Amino acid sequence: MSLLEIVDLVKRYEDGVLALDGLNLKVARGEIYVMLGPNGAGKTTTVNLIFNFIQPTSGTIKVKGIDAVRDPLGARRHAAFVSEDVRLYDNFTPRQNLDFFARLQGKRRRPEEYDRILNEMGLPEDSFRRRVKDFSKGMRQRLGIAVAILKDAELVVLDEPTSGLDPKGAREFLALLRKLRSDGKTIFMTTHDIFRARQIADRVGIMSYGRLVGEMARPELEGVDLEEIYVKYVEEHR
Amino acid sequence: MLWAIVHKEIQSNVISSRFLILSSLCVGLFVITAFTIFQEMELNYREYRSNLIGHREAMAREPSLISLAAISGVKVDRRPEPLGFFARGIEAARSRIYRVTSYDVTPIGGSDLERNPFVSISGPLDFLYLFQVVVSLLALLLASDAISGEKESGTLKLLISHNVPRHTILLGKFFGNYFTLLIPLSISAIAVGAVMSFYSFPFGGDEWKRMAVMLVLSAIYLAAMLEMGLLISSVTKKPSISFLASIVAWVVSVIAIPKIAFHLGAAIAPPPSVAALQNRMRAITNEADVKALTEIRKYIEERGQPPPKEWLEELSRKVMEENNAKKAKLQQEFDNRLARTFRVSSMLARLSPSSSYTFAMQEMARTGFNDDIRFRRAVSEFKEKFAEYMEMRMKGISSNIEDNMPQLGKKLDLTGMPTFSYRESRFGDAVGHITLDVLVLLTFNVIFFLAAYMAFLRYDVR
Repeated sequence: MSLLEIVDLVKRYEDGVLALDGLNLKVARGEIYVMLGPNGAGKTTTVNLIFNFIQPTSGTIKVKGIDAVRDPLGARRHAAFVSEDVRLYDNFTPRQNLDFFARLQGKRRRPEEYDRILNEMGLPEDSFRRRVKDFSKGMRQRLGIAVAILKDAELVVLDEPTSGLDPKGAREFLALLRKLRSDGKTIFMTTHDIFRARQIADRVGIMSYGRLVGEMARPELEGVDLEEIYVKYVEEHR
Repeated sequence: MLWAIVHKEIQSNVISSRFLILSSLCVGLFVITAFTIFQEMELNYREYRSNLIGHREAMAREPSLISLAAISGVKVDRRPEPLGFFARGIEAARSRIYRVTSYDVTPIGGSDLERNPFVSISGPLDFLYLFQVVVSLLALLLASDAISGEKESGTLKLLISHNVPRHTILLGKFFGNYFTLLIPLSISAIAVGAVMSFYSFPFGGDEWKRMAVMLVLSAIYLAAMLEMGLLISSVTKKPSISFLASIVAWVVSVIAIPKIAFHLGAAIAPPPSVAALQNRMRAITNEADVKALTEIRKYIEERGQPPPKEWLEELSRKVMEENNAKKAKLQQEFDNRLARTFRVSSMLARLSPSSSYTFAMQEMARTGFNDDIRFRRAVSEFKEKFAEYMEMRMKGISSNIEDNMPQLGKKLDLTGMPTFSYRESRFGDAVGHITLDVLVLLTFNVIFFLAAYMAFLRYDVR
């Protein structure tokens, strides 16, 4: 059974722009699905629809079989969100941020457990008591993942998580994602970074003008020039 | 879930420099106000007590019954209301001393305005003012960026991505900010209590009950202002816009509506003129004098001799009765017109929660319009009793002024003279009077919260 299932999803904004034009995709349990596409292809719109931040024009989205439009709260229970530029409560320390989101889920932990998670995320210990407003983007991304882990949702949705990260930071971040997968999480990630997509994805979907124009699984990705394929798909479906 | 948000709101408010500054301001203002107002109240009580003694002594020194009945009269002292420190109300502008003669009641001064004319510039200082103006602004500003602030900082999207219903977020924001507001207010209450302990005011069980209701009213009012802030925050996208909109909303609801309503109300239902009332009262007295003289002249013309004493007494009684009836009718008309102006103005003013809060607080502090009418009515009733007593006492006394010349060293015998007593409004009656305003305040709470919820449901969290 797919953990995320999107069927004939259409989103036309109030200004008439067609952001999604009949999107269909399935993300299997335990896989890392990377949605590739240029700016304006509809990647962020897809993420916004999964969490019901906006309403679709038509079509359905199911998270673990729960309709995200009819029962957004039920669907959100099984999905954690990490945005492009992770924003947390700036005046709080990482521990205070984790404590808040843990309380929100009714799963408050002991301070040592927060420290353990932060350690696992690779955050330096001296940062645990610092306010988040002084954190770099990379540190925020790690903290964002920690919040997602605390939520203990099966699906983790990441919107352009590697943009703006330096190569070392991006590599460490991908390592974190692999760890999440090994812990049984399913990952749906959007990016326009072909290099990172190739490194991490079990399956890649290529978006162009609101449509999924191509899909490739890990074996197909081996030994091919993904960039060339990506440009070809996008050009063909312009 | 709810308490997680409440806890987070309190935590993030308390560590912010904004909260520290506003709280210090709040506590500072409460303490300064407490010192000022308790000092003023003590002065008022001292003056009241010395006036009571002074007026009693002056009455005993009166040279004759006629001068007491017609010229000096009895002085009625209005006791300062012990809860006046919370809501000065109409009391600040009213005379504290009334002269009651057999013919009329005249306010002769002692109001706050007379003692300190600058009060008319700034308005009276009381805790109602602090709640209505300062703390309400604090509440509004605290809540004004509750949603828009989270949107701008980017945390709203993450918060919504968790399975938290929007009404829970809104309620959490409400209670979190409300409890935050209670922190400086609790510190202020302790500080005010400490200042108050240096003074002693006549506080009985009734006052404590009223005080409790006033605190509840303040709590409801602040909740309404906080919800107004939440509503503004739910319809704006940027905290800077929320801030500006809050200032505008505050000015409109706290200053503009209550002020304009009373002027507009007076234009729709003009209040009676006090000067015109006094002129008409004087005219009635003159008419009575003319009528009495005409009757006497007629008697002399018809019978060729001056009327006997009994006939004169009967005429005097009849003329005074008519005189009093006309004056009472005039006073009643005056009160009715004044009440109508107040009714129209207060209905318009109730478009703002601030006005309902003020009316209810003044009613509870016994410094509102109803208590003022009640007191003046009590003085009028006393005047009737005083006039009756004087008439009875002066029966058989020569009307020749020479017979009434002061008798040095001899005190007037005022045995059986009625004394002024005023039964203040009962707690139950006051609660009945504030029902409308409490309902208005509760309605504002419901409307603001529901409107904020509806707006938040449609809020673009991206």
